Amino acid sequence: MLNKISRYTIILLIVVVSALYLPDFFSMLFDKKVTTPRMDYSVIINDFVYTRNHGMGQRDRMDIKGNSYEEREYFRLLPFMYYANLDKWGQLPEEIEGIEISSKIIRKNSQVIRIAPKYVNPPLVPLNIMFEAEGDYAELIIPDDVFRLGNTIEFLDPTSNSVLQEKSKKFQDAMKKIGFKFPVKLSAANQTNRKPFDEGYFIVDANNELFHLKMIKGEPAIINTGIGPDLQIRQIYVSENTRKEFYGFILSEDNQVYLITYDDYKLRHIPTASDVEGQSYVADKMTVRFYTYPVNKHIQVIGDGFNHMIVLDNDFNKKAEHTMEWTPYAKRPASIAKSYLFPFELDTYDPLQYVKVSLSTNLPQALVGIALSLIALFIFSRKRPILDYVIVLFTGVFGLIGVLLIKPEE
Amino acid sequence: MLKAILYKEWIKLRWAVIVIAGLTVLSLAYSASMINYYVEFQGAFQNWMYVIGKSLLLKNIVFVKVLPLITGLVFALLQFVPEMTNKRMRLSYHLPISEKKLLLSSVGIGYIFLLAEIIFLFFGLWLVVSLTYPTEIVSKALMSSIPWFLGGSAIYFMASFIILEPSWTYRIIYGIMTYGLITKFYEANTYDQYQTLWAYILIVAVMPLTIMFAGYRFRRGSK
Amino acid sequence: MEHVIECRNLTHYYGDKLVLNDLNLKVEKGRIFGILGKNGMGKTTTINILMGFLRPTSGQCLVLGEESHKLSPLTRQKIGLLHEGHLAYDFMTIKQVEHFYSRFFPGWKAEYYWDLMKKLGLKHNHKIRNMSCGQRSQVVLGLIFAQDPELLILDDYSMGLDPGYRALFIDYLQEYVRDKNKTVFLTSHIIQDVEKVVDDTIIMGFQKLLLKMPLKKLKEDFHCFTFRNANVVGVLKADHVITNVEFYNDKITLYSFKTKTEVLKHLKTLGITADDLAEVSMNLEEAFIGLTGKY
Repeated sequence: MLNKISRYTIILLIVVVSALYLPDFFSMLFDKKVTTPRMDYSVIINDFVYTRNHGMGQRDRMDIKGNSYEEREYFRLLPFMYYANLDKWGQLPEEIEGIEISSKIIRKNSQVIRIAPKYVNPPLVPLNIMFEAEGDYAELIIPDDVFRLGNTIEFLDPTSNSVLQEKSKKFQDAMKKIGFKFPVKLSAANQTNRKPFDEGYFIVDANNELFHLKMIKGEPAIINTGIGPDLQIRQIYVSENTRKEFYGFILSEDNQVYLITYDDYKLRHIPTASDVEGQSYVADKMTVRFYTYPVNKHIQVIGDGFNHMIVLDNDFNKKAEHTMEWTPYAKRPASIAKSYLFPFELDTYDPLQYVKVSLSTNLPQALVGIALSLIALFIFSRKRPILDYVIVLFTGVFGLIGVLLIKPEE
Repeated sequence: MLKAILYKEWIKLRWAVIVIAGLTVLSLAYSASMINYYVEFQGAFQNWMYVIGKSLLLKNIVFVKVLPLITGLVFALLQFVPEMTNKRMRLSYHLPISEKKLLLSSVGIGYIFLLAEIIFLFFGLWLVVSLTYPTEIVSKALMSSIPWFLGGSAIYFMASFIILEPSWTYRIIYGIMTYGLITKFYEANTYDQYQTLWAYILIVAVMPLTIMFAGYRFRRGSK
Repeated sequence: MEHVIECRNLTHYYGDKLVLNDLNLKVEKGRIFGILGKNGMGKTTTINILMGFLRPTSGQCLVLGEESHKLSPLTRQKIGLLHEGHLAYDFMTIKQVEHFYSRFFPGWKAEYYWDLMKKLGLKHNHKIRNMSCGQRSQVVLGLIFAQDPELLILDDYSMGLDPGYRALFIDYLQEYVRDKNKTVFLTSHIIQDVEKVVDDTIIMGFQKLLLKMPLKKLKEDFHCFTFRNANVVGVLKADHVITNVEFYNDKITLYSFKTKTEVLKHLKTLGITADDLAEVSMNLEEAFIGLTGKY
């Protein structure tokens, strides 16, 4: 009896290994790369344009009406993107839509924020650095302590691996005074000194209220943004920019994106939804890109098989919208073949940067593979215990491999 | 009778246990001095930045990653290769003890020594890291070590299983399977990346059951 | 009488090759059996099945009343095995191996082991790995004796032993078994040794049992005759009287269980004259070759 259990344990392990490797191996052999287009919006022709690579290192440059362009022509269509080259070639226009244009102006008035799944909630060590927000120097000075935010705020001295009591107390008192309720639910900042200035930390307290914390001349400066308990914040991205239009943005639990504006922290909702089913932004599966330019703003929601782009004017009114589509992963021939052949797939790769076992399956098609496996088992090896057939019933070709490799001893 | 099995396995393992214990202490000492070196060399704050931002600690404690794997393999080899050469396993299978008790206790005893080393490493790691770093980093280091300990356990069970299997064809199959499984325990490139640890623990927990089949095949003279 | 070993319709295939064909064998208690058989005749297969390390394709092999591949631990306590090559735990010392085994047998008689070890003259912490084949065989024998089993199965006990150790082995075995009503099942390639110690012989032929009979009877009943006749090639062959026949030029050697008179009569019916038919005495080895042939 134990020997039978032992054999099935081995078969189970073979099923696991097969499910982990065979589908990927199959993709590696049979999947053809799909080139995705890079979409943009030209203020010169007021229409969407895109580039797409061809096999032989060739690149198409088109607009959505079907016209194609040479490389330099294409660059001229997108001055905000290619201003450096255009400037060098003396082809940068002097004004666009009534606004004066130069390389310097473009640089100063452009900003990009990107949220890809791997930035949504990656594994991090929860220790932070607090910059001096109003220092004497032109660059941000990297501090020499770190702080933790949890049940309280504490600054730590790495040299002695101990708590800096005075500084910690100063911040604790300031936060308590303004009504901040520990423990901290979420905190975010742009933790690099390679930015023009520092806007510190946005912190969600235990009551779900959002606070803004900075260190000014060594002293804590904290404000209650008023962004309230009803907004379920999933993640915050801070991005300092001399334009000082917004601090950064908030990703909510229900996949909405809001800019945190400098106008008293008023939130500005960014449209990421689509009329097409499955193309509204979902943080775990799609990337959202938000570009600010001198005369407009672009939003792109990029997912498996589509790029949905919305152009807004400077007042956030929708100006234009277009979606480009290509074969999504599930509709590629290799994927379709896989769904029939393999009843499920085991993966340890996680787009959110974790090592996690996940199972994916396509039920109706999987039954075909299972049926074929059962038939194969019957043909290759007639007399088998019922349990062998049961295993193949549930695990298809993976179980078939296991059961055929490890014969019952009789 | 189980005491006799313990006696037999201990005779085979005792030098290895002592050497591994020594290596464990040396590894911990080495990790501690590596950490210290980097702190001195980079300056405490900069070092913390590398540890936090670039997973530097994983490099410093690489022996904690590797040692359970080596130990598991060495123990399995020391315990079961002497038993399988020239079909010597026949001696053990003829002992008046059930096959189940014989195999499971032999593997169980080897695993207890391996587990002792793992626990030793775990607490040693805790000590070494907390000398220099705050709890946030300590807990990340400890959580990162768990898949490695599972990997070491896995290789012990699978190597024992492969050695006890009489036929080379099956050994190769099991070997491929083992390689595919073991690599999954070492996929992290930063701290505490493993979620669904329960799945990994479950897989390792069922591995000891595989050895019964090898014993069964040996007894039947199967090829 | 209860049989210590009983094989019923034992059949075994190695892949497509039939090695044992419907073997039936009964072994009585309290005697020493020697199994002889040429390589490839199924002797090793039978022993492996008996020792419980091979599952027969079909048929049964009962040892002490239980199926040999499924012996209960309690029954295994009563069976002492000597594995081909004198297998032992090489990594143990003389003292360690005794300490280990004694824990498994409630009736452990340590004095038998230590008697033999004294004769061996090695230190107690001498590793078995560092012993010669012969020294190791003593250790293994000592362990079996101390176990005090009802049944001893000694597979190729002479392998790798020089004559001195072979003789020692036989002597000790005979002493040990005397008056104890133990059953011994042994195999060897050195048939002279087997001759000294066995009560009964079991001879394996191609796929089946050739004979099982007490050694004394075999010696009494099995005869070897020679004569010279140039004209019998093709006419003279094995039949119900003649077990085996060999030709060398005109010299013919005959083996038979029948008496000289019966053989002469039989030859006459075949039309063969054998006036110079003479009996030749055989030892067991010669008898064995006579039974199974030189090839």
